[in-house]
Amino acid sequence: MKVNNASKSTTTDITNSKRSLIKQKTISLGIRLLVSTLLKLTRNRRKKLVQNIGKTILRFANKTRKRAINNIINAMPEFSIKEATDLAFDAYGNCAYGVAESFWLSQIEPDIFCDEETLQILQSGTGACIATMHIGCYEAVPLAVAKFAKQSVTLTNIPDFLADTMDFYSEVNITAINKKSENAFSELVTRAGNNAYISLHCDLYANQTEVTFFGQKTKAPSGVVLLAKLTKKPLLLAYAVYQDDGQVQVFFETLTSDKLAEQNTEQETTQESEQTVEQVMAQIYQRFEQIIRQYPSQWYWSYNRWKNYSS
Amino acid sequence: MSIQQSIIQFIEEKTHSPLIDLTDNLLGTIKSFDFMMLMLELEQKFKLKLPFEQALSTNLRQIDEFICWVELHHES
Repeated sequence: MKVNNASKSTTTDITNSKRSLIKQKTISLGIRLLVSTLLKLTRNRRKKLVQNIGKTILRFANKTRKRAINNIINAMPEFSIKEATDLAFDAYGNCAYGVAESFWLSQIEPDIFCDEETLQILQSGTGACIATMHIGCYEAVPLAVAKFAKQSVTLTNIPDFLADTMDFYSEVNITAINKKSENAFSELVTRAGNNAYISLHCDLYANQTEVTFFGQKTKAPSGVVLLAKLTKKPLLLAYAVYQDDGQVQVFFETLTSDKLAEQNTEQETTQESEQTVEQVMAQIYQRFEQIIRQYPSQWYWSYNRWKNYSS
Repeated sequence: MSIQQSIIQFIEEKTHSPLIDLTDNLLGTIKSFDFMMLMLELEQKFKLKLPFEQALSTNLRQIDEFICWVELHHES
């Protein structure tokens, strides 16, 4: 009797996994077809179409829309409800396009901006950790890194149905490590040790380090800062935004490096020269806030960013 | 406090469990973020320089192996 039950359950498992595989393949095929259709359009028409699809989705996604509007009003109380609503729709449309562009990264030629020291770090080939954010073209930062360095690595949260289309990263020399994979962390650390340039999005909520963001206390993922400290690599901040003509601009800034540490040591002889994780995160979030205020219609406002966190 | 005590105390705090099996897999017991915090805390507390990439090698998976590895770096 027991044997029969086990055999029944095994058969059900196999059928379920087959069904799930067929579902994944069908969605994957659908996406491939959609992408190849979009690629037949000019970049401008493609942009308008994807933005409109994004705005239409938001119209029907009540919870997401309300959260975006609330987030905008909480962050920038000077905005009226109408202004916040318009911004929520614009931002959602822009972000839809920013995400969609991951499918044709090889067609993007970003303009890159950085100072001399940051350029040296990017060209040195000795690696760095890069704190980035969900603004403008999401994957343009690792894409820009790949123009300088051999090893541009990023962590992704790709849904299963897209896993076999992940070659859009390798096409442009980006190594994408799937967050869900069992060895994701080991692989990330190994690559960091092998002088890779690791770009990690860290503007979402994570129950890690307390930060103040738009005047409100919340928590943030600080893995990128810890990784930089432990691997003794420079820490950069980078973001990619669209210009009015659709051109992508990627900006890199140095947050911590040996050179900066030396300067700080000379200036602060009595204080501890190395910044704590909390201090570096505060610096990152201050810059994130400035960047979002500069490009409010390009940041993804719909995240449950502040959650119900209170210190 | 010794290195062993520090590591065990850290894991106990993170897992909210007073019973730590030292043969357990370290990264299966605490999150990767906490693991990095632990490494940083050990470096600062015991004035160590730990080769981070080595800490994830296959022969350092268990908590007791990790403790020995940190102690070895402390002694040298």
